[in-house]
Amino acid sequence: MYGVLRLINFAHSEIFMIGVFTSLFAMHAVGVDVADPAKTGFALVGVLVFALIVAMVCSGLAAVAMERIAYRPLRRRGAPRLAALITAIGMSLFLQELFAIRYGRNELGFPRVLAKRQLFAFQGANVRSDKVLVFVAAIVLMIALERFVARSRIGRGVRAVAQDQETAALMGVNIDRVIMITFLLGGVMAGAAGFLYGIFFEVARFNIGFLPGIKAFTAAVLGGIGNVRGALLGGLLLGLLETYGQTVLGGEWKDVFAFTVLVLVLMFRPTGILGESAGRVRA
Amino acid sequence: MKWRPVALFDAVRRRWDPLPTAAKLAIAAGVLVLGAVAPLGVSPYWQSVLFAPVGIYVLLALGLNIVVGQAGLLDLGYVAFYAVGAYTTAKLTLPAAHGGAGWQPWLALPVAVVVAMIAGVVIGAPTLRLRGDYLAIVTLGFGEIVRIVAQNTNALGESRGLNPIPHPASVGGLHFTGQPYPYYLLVLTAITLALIVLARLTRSRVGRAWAAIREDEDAAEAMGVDTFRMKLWAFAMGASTGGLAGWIYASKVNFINPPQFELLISILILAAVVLGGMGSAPGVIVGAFAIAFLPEYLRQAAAGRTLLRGLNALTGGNAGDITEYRLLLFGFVLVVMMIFRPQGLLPSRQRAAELLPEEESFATPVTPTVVPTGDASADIVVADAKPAGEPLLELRQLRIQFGGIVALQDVSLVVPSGSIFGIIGPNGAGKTTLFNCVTGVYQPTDGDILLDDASVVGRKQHQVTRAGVARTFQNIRLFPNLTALDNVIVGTDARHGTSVPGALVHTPRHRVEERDGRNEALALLEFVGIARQANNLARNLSYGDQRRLEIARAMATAPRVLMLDEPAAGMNPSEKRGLMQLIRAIRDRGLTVVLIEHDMSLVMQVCERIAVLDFGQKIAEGSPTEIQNDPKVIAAYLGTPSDAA
Amino acid sequence: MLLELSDVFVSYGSVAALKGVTLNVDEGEIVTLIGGNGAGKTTTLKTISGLRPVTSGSIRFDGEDIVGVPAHRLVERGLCHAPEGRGIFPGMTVTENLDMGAFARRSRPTPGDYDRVFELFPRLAERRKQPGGTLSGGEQQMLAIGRALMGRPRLLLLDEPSMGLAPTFVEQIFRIITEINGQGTTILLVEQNAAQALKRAHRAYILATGEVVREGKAAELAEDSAVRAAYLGIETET
Repeated sequence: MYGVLRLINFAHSEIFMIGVFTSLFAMHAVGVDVADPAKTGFALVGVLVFALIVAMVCSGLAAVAMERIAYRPLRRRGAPRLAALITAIGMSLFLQELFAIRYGRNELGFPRVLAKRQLFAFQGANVRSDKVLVFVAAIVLMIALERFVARSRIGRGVRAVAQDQETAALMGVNIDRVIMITFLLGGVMAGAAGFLYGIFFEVARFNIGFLPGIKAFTAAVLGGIGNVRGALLGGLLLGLLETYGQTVLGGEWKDVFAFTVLVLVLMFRPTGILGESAGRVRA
Repeated sequence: MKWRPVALFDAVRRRWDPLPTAAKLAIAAGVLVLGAVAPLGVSPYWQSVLFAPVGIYVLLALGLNIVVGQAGLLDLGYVAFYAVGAYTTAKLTLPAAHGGAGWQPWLALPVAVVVAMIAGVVIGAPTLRLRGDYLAIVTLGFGEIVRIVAQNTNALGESRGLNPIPHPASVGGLHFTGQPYPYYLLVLTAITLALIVLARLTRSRVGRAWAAIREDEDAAEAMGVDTFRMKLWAFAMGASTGGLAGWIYASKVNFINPPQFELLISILILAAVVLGGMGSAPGVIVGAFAIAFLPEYLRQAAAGRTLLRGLNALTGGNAGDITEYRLLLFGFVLVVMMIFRPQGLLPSRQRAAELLPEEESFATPVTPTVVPTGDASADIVVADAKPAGEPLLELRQLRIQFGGIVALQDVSLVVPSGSIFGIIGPNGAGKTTLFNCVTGVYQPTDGDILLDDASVVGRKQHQVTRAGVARTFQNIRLFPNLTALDNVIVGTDARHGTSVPGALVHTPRHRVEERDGRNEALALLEFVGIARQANNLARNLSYGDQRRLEIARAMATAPRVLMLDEPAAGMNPSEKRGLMQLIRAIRDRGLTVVLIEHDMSLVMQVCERIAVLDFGQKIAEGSPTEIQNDPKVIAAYLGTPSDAA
Repeated sequence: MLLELSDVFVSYGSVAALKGVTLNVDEGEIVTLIGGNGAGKTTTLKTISGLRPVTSGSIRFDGEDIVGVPAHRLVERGLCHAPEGRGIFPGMTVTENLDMGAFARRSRPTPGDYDRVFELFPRLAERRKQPGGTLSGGEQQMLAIGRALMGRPRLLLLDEPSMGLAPTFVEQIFRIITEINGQGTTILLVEQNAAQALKRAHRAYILATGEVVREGKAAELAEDSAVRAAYLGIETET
C-alpha cells in the first residue's frame, strides 16, 4: 500500500486492530464464548470463515471510510506529505482511543475455537494446528494479492497510479477509485491479519495494532517496499531475527530488536532486499 | 466558512504584524510580567497545573518546533530527549544510597542539557540522511528504544523508576520545595530563553538554511548549505530544549519512571505544534497551552461534565473523567486541523504559504521583460579568476556508470577561464549527468575533475559549491516560499561562517555577514534585473524572472564557474535575447560560464567553445562554426545545417 | 465541430491562468497552440482533458458539454492526451505502457493496435520488453504518442512533443504527427517550436498570458511579421 500512496499510514495498525475486535465480536455474535470448548468439523470451519469474513469486511470498510473522510480532502488540495503523516497519526490515536473508551483498556479474551493440538513434530519443532492455519492462510492471501496486482485490470491501474498519478488519469484510470480500492485491499488484508492474530494470541486490546504495525512496516522495508514477495520475505526474516535476538538478549529486548533492525535497514539499504527496481523507480 | 475563533486569531495576527519592534518588545515584556505574576492569584492546584503539564508542554513544544517547524523534520520520538534529560538529572543528583552521584541539582542542569544534546546528535547522525516519513518512523523507533532501555536496565530503576530526586538549592528569595510556584517561574524563564534562541536563530544564516532545507533540500545543498550539519544542529537544539525540560520536571516531581515518557507525549507535543502552527512561536505556545490546559480545565468545569456526558453518549463509552477523552479528542483535532486549517491557529506567514494549496508556478503579476542593466555594482563579490584563457575547469576521462548503464564514457573537456562554454546534445546524452558529476551530486566511477588544478572528486555538493562551482537547474528549483531576496541571501551564506553559537550571541561576524549578505543580494537582484521583486515570494515570480532569480542565487555563492542547465528553456525570443545579454554580462565580470542548451541560435551566438555529447560520449568540440560544419554532429544531432543559426 | 472552447476561465488559487480562451478544432484538422511559457498552453490542454477545474465557460467535445467530466471518462470517449514531459510509467515495459493506453477501452488491445504503433515507430518494436524508464528521450516521446494512439483517439492532444529532442529527431516526430493526422485522427498540438508547428498545422492560435491573441491559418501566421519576430526567433545580434 505504501508503494501506491507514498505515505506511511500509521492508522493502518488500527485497521488491523479493528480486524481483531470484529472477528471477536463475530464469534460472540454466533454464540461462541470464552468458556466454550473448541469446535470441530463444520462448526469449526463455519465459525472461522464467518469471523474471517466479518473481520475482512469491517476492516476494509473502515479503511475506505478513513480514506474518504481524512485523506481525500488532503489529496484534493495537493497537501504536502507532512500533512498526510500528521493526519495518519491523528487517525491512529483517535481510533485507538475510541476502542479504549468503548471496550475498556484491558485485554479481552478470545474463545479457543480451534483446539491447539500438536499435529506432528518436525525436527524437534512443535507444529501446532493454529500455527499451520496462520501460515497457510498468510501464504494464500499473499499469493492472491500478488496475482491481483500483477494480472488484473484494476491491478494495472494500481501500478500506474503508483508511478504517475496524472498520466494514469489521462489513460482513463479513475484515480479516486484506484486509491479507494488500494485502501480497501489494504484494509481487507489487515482484517484477515487481525483475525489470524486473534486466533493465535487469543487477545484483543485497543493498542494491539501498534507493535504489529511497526513490525509490518519493518518487514515491508526489509523486503523492499511496493513488492508483495519482498514483504513476505521480509516478514519471515524479521520473525527469524527476532526469535534469534530474543534467545541471545532475553525476551524483554524483543521489541528493541525489531526497531533496531528497522533503523539499520533504513540506514543502509532503504530499498530493501528485493526492492532494487522499486527504489530506482522512485528515484 | 470561517470559523469565528479562528478569525479572531487572524485578526490578532493582522494587528500585530505592522507594529514597530519597540512596541512588540514592550508588549512581550508586559506579557512576561503578567505571566509571572498571574499564577499568584490562583490556588496551588492550578499553579501546579500551570507548571506541569502546561509549562513543561510549552517548553517541549518550542523545542520540537525547532525540529519540525524550522527544519521540517518530522520527529516522532522527541520524548526521548526529555527522558534523557530527566534520567541524567536523576542519576547525577540522587543520593549515593539510591545509586546516584549526589550532585547539587544546579550542577546537573548543564550536564543534563548537554547530554540530551549529545543524544540528539547520536540519534540524528545516522538517521538524518533519511527523508520524510522514514525519518518519522525511525525517530519513533528510537523514542521507544530509549523508554524500553530505561524499563529494562536495573541502574535506571526499571519500572520502579528513580526517586527521591532532590530539589535544587534556593536562589535569591526562591525556595525550591514542593511548592509549584518557584518551578513555574523556572519554566517561564526557560520558555523565555527558548523564545530568544528561536528568534535569533530564525533570523540568521542558520534559520535561512533550515528554511531552504524545508523547501528543497537538493537545491539547498547545491547552494552550499551543509544540509546534514544544519539538520543535526536543529536536532541538537531541539534535544537540548527537551533535556532542559527533563531537568526541570525531574527536580520538581522527585520521581520518574518509564510510563512518564511514553510515545504519547511525543504525539501530544506534536499535536500542540500542529494545532498552534508549525514554525510560529506564539502559535506553538497557544497550541501547547490548549493541549495541556483544556483537559484539566474541563475536568473541573461544569461545561466539562456536560461534554463528558455527550461524549459518552456518542461513543457508547462510560468514562468517568473527561481526561479519558483527551487523546481521542487530540487525534480528532489533528485530523480536522489537517483538513481545514493545516497552517495551525496562529500560523507563521511563511509556513502558511507552504501548507496551503500548491499552485503551479504561474506568471502572477505579469512583469514586462526587464533588460538587465548589467550595472557593475560594487557590492557583488566575484571570486578571484585565473587569467583569461587558462584552463579553469578540466574533466579528465570522466566516466560514470549506473548499474550496467554507462552514462558518461571517458569524457575529457577543458573549460578556459573567462569563457562561455556550451554543451549540447540530444536528451539522454548525459549533459545533466555531467553537471551532476561536476557539482558533486554523483561521484564519477572513474576519471578526475579539476577546478583550478585541484581535484573536486569525492567532495560533497556543498563543498564543491564553496570551492567555486555554482549551478542552476533545468526545472527551476528555487525556494518557492522564501522571498526573492532571501533566496539570494541563502546563496551568499555559502561564503559565510556564522553557525548556531554565533547567531545566538550576535557576534560581530554575524552582524557583518548579515549586512553584507543583504547588500550583495540586493545588488545581484539589480544586476539580473529583478530588483523590484525582492520582497515577493519566489513562487509568485513570472517564469522568466524565476530563471533570473536562480542565476542571481547561484552567482551569490561567488563562483568561479557558473553552470546553467537549459537557462533558455521556455523563454520567448525576446526573453532569450535578454538572457544572452545577461550571460555575456556575467562573463564580463570575470566568471566562467558553462551552459547546457537546446536553443541552437542562442548557443551558437553566445558560446565561444562548444562540446557535443551523444550517448555519453563527446563526439565533437570546437568553435561554433566548427561544430556547425562537423559532419558527425550534423548526423547525430543538428540535422540539416540550415536549421541552426 | 469536434472540440469547442468558449470563453474558458481557469485559475490556480487566486491566479487566473486562462482568461476567456475561445478556440475550436474541426474533425480532421491539425490545430496548433503556440506561445511563451506561462501563456497557458499546457493549462489549456489539461483543462480540456479534465485535469484542471474550469472556473467558467464551456467546453464541448463532439457536441456534448464536458466541463466537470473527470479525466478518465473523457479517455473513454476518444479524447487522448500525450502529456508534457511524456509521462512514461518508468517501471512498466514498453508493451505494458502501451496496454495502459488501452486501459479505458476495457478490452484487451488487439494485435492491430500494436501493429499500428509499431509501424509508426519501428524502434519501439525492438524495445517491447524494456522498462519505459530506460528509453532515451526520443523513444519515450514515441512511446507517449504510441500509447495515446492505443486509446483509438478521435482527438489527440499533444503537449510539446519536440521538447528536449535533438534537431534531427524533431523533424521525424513532426513527420509522424502529419502521418497520424493523415490516418484520420484530429490533433491539437501545443508547441514551443513554432516554426515546425506552423509548418505542419492547418490552423493556429497564439496564446499570451492566458488569452488568445491571434488566430488564423497556420501558413498565414507563419508569414506574419509580428508573429515571426515574437515566436519564430528571427534574431539579430544585439
